[in-house]
Amino acid sequence: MKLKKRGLLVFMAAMLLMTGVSRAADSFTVARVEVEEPGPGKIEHTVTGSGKVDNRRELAVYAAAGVLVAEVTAVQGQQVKKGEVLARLDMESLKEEIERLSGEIEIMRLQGAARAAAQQRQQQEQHRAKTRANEDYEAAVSENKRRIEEAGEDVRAAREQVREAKKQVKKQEAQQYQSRQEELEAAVKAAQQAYEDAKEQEESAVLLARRAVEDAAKTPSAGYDKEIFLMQVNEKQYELNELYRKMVQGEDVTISQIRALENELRMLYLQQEEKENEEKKQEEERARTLLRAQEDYERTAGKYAKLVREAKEKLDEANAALDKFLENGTVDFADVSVKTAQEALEEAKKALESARRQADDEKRLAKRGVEDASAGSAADNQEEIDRIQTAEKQRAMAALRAAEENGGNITAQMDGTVTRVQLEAGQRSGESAAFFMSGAFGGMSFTTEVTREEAVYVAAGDTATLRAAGEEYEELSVVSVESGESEETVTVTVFVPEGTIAPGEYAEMEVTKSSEEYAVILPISAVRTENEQNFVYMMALEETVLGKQYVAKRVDVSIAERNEAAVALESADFPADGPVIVSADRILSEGERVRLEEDDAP
Amino acid sequence: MKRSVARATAFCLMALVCALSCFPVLVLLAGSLAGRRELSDALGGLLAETGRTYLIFLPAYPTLRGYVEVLMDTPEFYVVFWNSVKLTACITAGQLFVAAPAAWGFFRWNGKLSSLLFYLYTILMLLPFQVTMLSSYRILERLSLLDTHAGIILPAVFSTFPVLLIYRSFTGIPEELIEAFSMESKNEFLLFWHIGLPLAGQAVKSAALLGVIECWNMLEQPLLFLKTPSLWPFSLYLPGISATNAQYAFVFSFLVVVPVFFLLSWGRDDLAEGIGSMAGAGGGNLKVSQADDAGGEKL
Repeated sequence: MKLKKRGLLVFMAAMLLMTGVSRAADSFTVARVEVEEPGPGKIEHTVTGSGKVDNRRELAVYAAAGVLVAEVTAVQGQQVKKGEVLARLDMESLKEEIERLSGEIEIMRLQGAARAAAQQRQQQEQHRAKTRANEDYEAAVSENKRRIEEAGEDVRAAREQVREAKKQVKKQEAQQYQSRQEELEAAVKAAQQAYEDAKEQEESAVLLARRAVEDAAKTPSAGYDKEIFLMQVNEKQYELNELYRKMVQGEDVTISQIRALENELRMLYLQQEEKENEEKKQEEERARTLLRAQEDYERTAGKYAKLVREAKEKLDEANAALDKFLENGTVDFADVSVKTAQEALEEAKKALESARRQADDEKRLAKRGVEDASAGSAADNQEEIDRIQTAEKQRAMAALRAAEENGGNITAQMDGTVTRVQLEAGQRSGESAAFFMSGAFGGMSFTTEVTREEAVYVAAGDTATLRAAGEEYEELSVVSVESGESEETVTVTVFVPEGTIAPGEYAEMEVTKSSEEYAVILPISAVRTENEQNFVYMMALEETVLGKQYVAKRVDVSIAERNEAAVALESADFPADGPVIVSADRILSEGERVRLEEDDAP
Repeated sequence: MKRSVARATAFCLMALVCALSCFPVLVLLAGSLAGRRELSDALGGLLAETGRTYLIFLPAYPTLRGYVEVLMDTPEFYVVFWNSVKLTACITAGQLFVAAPAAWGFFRWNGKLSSLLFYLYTILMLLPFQVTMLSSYRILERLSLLDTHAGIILPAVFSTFPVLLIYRSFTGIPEELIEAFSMESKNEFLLFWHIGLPLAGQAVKSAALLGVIECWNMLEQPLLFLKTPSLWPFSLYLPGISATNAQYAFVFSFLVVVPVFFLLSWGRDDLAEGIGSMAGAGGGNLKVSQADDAGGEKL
């Protein structure tokens, strides 16, 4: 119980501790930003250029071009002071020219805007087309990939089937081979057995026959019957002779005794004769039996020899078949499944090849679509032409405005003598110099080339600062801004008073000009760009789980004018108030929590 | 033999039921330890509506990164956690503060109005929040309590269920005991304090625990009455966690289970006995039925 209570308390204490720790850790992870309130202001354009000071004594005085000259007050050889009126432009004509030129500039601006909008639309279209083409390409690639994979899968499956079928066939072949071998071996064995049996039978039959022949050929064993017979005959003959002699000698011999003995002798002879007849008969019988036995032997031997020969032939045939089978090692086996699987494999291969070809075609088409969609439009110089023309017109406009501010007066930029007068009352001023002057107290000119864009912010009569040899010379007048040596540049001439910069010395010019008043000016670091869209992050207070927190809110903006340090925004698309994040210690994202950089933070 | 087989089967079944009950917590633990990629793969079907959804039981590459990130880099978690703690603690304390005397009052005060009130209490207990939602909203709006913690705490403090729970426990106090104490002192508060509360201690604890469980997971009231995110309890913050931080949801969920786990482990016996006493105390009769027994004097 205590353990659980303690566990709960420890857990809650740990959570309390970690609350503080996470808050501390959070302070390191939240982006620290610096903000600035957007406010009205002007954009200052500083035009700089390097050039050389030379002692050209004659300087040109330009008038705003295209304006009727009301009066030419200076005459050739006239001594004039700086600021003295040399000629006067017709204010009506000047205003008309300003209106005309501002109209042209507006038209050009509108045309430019329309072109930009069209271009943007075109880009959007192109982007959309590109996106679609990319999607099509991706879809085609993925579809083709899928198709190829499927076809590949089919091929693999077909291969597997073929392999399986072959395996089956091989298995069946092996089984058949085995069974065939076993069959042949069994046949050989059977033939061998038959052959051996036949041989054995032949041997036994021949043996029997031979025995029969031998038995038949066997003569009865030599008996002693004849000797016994002869001995009995001799004995009887002796007895008979004895009787004859006794009779002769007259001894008591009866005829019957002699007769009996003679009968006995005759009987013996008869018995002997019978016996001999019998023997003869037996001999004939034996000869006949032998002949038959021999015939039987011949027949049996022939018969079994034939049987053995046949068995031998069969054995030889079986052996030959087995040898042949073992030698060739194959059985004629045609399996339909392998053929079918191989056909399926061929089909699948064809399908795969076809899918690949189709994929290639589609991929090529889709890629071509992407390339077509990605291909930018033909290089269009119109924008550049417009830019140059606008810069030119703005420069002319700046000159007209300067003339208007000056009340239409064309004044001398230095003390000196009018050496040439090129203006004529009642005529329109031209692009060329209106007057030429030479310095009364001596003087030089500084000449530099600036770009046409920069030249927009420089006009005759502006104040320039020159720096040379570590010295700075302020309040010097720009005496002329005229087309430069190249299309891209404009020549700016500044009057350099005597005794300031030595002739031949190089100097740096700086002309600063302010733009019109803008409602929203921000440091340039506040503006970010993503996909050619400019935007700023505003710091907004938002209710979050952690309470009211500052977060970065993205606001898309359009830039009206800019220099190296600041931008003027179109006020129409900018919220009325709220601080704008001008710097952050990390890359921000929409809705990300931010906090203000502490003053003492590094 | 048969009995032992039956016992073993019953044990297996109960073990299975227990495992199923623990299943969500195990899934939470596994999910909180799984890597972000693994989780997004597992919950792809649910969060990104692509692929399929499956549960992780054993993370492939367990990591404590989610815990470190939630505990160290997510101060929002502590805001919603302490909001939940605050709401739960205040509501539970308030419920006990109100419910125990109210129950004693119902127990000791036998009259028609008391019976009517008790009857209403019973009906109120049966009404779901959805029914009283609109009227609650209007009242809180009138009292300017919308979008404040008080707007959540005050209606919950006057919950009827703890009153009924504690009342049931009071009905189990023998009358003789009360009479004996009354002979010593006529002070009703002392009777309540020295006799009533100690004897209904388990019911009070049960009511507190049930209150904690109810309030800790409270969703509908904050959802309707709280608009300011910094006032939200964790139950409102959790669904707002994006798909890319699914791991946080698991870690959050697991961490908020921990205190409830400790609390219930600590008071489990009291909870069981308290609820048990509700069923067994006072002869199992509600006040309404007591009134009926007394001759229909009460409603």
